[in-house]
Amino acid sequence: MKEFKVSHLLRYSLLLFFLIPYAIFLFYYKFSIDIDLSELLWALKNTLTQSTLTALIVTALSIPLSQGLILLPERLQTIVKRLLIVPQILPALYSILIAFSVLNPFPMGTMGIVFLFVLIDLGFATLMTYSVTTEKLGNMSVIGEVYSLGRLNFFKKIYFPLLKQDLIVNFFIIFIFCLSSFSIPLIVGGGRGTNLEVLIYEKIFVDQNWSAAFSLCAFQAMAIFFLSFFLLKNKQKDSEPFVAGNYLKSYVGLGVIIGYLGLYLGGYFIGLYKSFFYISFASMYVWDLYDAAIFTGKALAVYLTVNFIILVLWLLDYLNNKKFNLATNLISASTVLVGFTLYLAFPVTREYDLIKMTLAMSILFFPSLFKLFLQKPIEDLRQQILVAEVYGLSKPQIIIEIIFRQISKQMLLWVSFLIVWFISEYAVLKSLGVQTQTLGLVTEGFLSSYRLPLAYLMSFFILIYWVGALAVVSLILRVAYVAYKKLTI
Amino acid sequence: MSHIKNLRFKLDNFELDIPELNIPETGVTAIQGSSGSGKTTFLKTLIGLHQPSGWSWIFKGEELSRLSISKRKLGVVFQTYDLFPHLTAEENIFLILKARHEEQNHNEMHKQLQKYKSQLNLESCWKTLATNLSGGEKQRVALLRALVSNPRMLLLDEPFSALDSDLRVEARRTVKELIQQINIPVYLITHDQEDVNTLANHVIKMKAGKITQ
Amino acid sequence: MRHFIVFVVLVFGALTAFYYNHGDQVKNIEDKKIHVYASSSFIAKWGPGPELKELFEKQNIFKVEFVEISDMAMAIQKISFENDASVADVVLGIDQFDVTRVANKIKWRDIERNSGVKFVENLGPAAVEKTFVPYDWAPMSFVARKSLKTSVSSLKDLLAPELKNKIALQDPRTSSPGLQFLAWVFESKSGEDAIKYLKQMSKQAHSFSPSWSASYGLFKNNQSDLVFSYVTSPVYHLVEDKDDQFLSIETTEPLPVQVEFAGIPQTCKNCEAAEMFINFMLSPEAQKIIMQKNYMLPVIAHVKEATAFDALKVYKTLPIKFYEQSKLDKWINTWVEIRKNEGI
Repeated sequence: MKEFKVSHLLRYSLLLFFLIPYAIFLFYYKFSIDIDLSELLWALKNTLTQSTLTALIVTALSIPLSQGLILLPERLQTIVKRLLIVPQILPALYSILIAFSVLNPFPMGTMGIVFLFVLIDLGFATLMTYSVTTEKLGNMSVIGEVYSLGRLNFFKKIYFPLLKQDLIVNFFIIFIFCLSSFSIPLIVGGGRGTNLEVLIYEKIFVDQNWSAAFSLCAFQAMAIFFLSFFLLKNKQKDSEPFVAGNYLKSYVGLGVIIGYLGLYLGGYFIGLYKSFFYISFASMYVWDLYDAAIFTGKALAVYLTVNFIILVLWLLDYLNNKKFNLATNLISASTVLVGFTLYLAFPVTREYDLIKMTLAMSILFFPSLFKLFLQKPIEDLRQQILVAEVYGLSKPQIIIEIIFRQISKQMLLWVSFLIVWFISEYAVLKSLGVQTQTLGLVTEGFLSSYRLPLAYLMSFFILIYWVGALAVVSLILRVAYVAYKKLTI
Repeated sequence: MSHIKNLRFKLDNFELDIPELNIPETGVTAIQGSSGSGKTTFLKTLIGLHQPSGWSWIFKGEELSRLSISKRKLGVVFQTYDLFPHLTAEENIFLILKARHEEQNHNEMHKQLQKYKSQLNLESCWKTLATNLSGGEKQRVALLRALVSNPRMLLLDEPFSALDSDLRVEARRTVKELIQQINIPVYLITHDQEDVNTLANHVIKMKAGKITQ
Repeated sequence: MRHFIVFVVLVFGALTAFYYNHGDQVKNIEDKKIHVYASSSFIAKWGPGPELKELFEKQNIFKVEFVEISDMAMAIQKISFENDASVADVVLGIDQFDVTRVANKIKWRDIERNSGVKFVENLGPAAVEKTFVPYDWAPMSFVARKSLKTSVSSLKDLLAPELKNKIALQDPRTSSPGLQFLAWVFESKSGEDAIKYLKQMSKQAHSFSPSWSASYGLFKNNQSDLVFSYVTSPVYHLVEDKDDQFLSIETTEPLPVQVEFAGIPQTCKNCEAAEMFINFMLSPEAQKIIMQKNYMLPVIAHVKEATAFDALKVYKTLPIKFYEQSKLDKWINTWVEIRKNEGI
């Protein structure tokens, strides 16, 4: 009975943790439904147009691009895969700058927003399509070739029927990313691209209409929750060894990948190269940078520790209930709401910066990063987890020996995203009212005052810092595991 | 006799319906049935994966149906063996050894382990990662894991079905020799008559979720 | 698992206890400190904040701690929620519209100015406001590059076909300059003409950015040829970038004026020190720092001399007004309707 109660307490505490912003909002404001239907429909129209167009273009393009990726030898493939994820990692403002230098004049409004979303998400979508292709198609391309099916027939009869569900899931992942995006519609929309998230921002910051803001947040959160719950489920399937037949290779796709990376990374590196001529200007900010780097490091350590604790509690909850917490569907929470509510709840002075940052980023990033990187690999271990339970392994042993040891690569990826999103973040920190300078805020300061070369230099410094932080974290985990093994022998 | 009562369980379009069943608490009892007869559902219920309400399973005076999976202390060889692929054969065994045995019994268990290891001819693959073991080696490691886990009983779920036919004969003989050395009951889930003929002392037949014999 | 959960509960309990006890320890230090709320551009290394802080702390026993605010309405909302727990002593960056729209959410202290302060004439009613003290100002107009081929000398000229998608404006709901432009149109034209003009401008403009900095960035990145900004913006480029290619356009219509005020909330902790700080900001040395770092005009005379600001043209300006909330709401609602219906 006691065991039963503790597991329920854990389950609901985890869910409530991710609902803290809503609870704070209700604490300060009386709950009432207040939605201007015409305004909501207008924002929804923009949202649906932007998100649907982007998701369609990106999902469609990801097919030939994934085939371009398959064409590459393994080593080169690994490098290109890492490069394809860069647009997702870099803060949105870099993508905006790159886009402005590519398209001049830039089409502000819906077209501009869609262009930017496509620029940012195409690499990521390509990787998702590549992943489902290699997991599900096994030997089929070769068999199709052996029996002279023809490329078109292969796609019609084999590729699309088998991958249809997964491509739909990919579509909705991109759709959700776009739906909850804030900075791009705000800046590039030019006042014309108000989506739901921007409307929430306007209700809070412009109209101070809290009821309307809360109603919209609740509506958006429910929409995302249901999309995530019903559509983003991982279907269990034993993957067969993949053989890349010619029907799944595309030189055109490879050409587009090269063009895409050339455009994005080329744009970034040209900006970075030009910024090196301004290094002497950067010297006056050396001590500020030093202070920001130290504080960012401290904050990162606390943040990673808290996220690790959440992960362990999450897994304990999974082992108790044989399914993941409902909070895993609270992906893409409103950044505006989270920032604003925690700003209200905590004093503005710098002593509270650390706790505000840790809470906000954990609530915002944990569910989505978990769903992206760890959920499926852990679900794939369910039979082994059962065996371990049958043989009486304790829950900590199952977590460490069975789960962590087998998903160490995915965990490294998860940690690396936690780190880079944390250290480069500034939009949430601004709305939180964080007073201490972090690397992200220093970058934002340069960006908003149009000291662009310094902003580029900062972005490069952040990338180096990221690699360094990841190396330190990996070392700490290795040492911790060795110590754990020695203690348990 | 191990006594099962009021086991009724519905899963999708299938219903397990065993009002009463006595299974010997010694020797090898084969639970035989064709595909779809309910053997696997029955096995999963005994393991604790399915938790129907209102049923009872008394084994040597102890009510097992209320216990959690880990507390039932069963030794299970799954059809797919399910070794931990990232661990060597040795690590797979020692992980379970530590989990299932009190520290004071380790020495005794180590002696037994050496004996079984030798009988199962696992010396050559002892340090090999489980993912790199052959089918036969995986089966023997899975069996060793079950044997050293200090179980109340052994549950073997189609233990030979993944092996080639020539390996199966050899494997049956090995398992038979080992079973004769242990003093715990063995429940063998199988559809194969040869398995029954070679190993079983008693046979229970299942069809469409019911016991027919 | 139970042990782990107990550990987590203990950690959070310790953090909560720290949260509640921490306040007592810092109380003594807070007695000699004033908290000044200001925008990031004011507080940044290149803004006036650091030099003002250094100078003030040299002349007084009080320390200045800047608290960055990203949005005035939010900051005032937070002060209102915090009530007596608020640490705000001075709030900077309040403009004429904030005085009407958001400042009434909390009570402000009357500020006694030093007797020797003589404000410039342009400030009009802003100079005699009891609760808000002006500390900088600037007329607003369109900034362009000297290479702009199209001649612009009035609001009407901005509707020229050559300038389609070339004008960067700001959203009046989120940006003061944006609201300044709206007010300028309504003050310069009759009701219906103003609405007609705004409808045309909605199709003509390149964008309505959420902030001045976003729109100025578009201009600097050559996404637009004109941006609605401060007439002092070209001085910034001249001094900081050594670039003289920018100019402010003088129009036949008198230009709108932006004034920034400082205020002291009633809930201030070091109220007298806060007043000292505001009066310090009106001193010639402080005004010079603000002018040269903020790139806005000083509110007292004889500060611009022998600086790049001295050469700045004297523009014809609209009288400074504090508009009624209802008027501002009406203008903004008009703009919002145009935005929705004209497909902005």
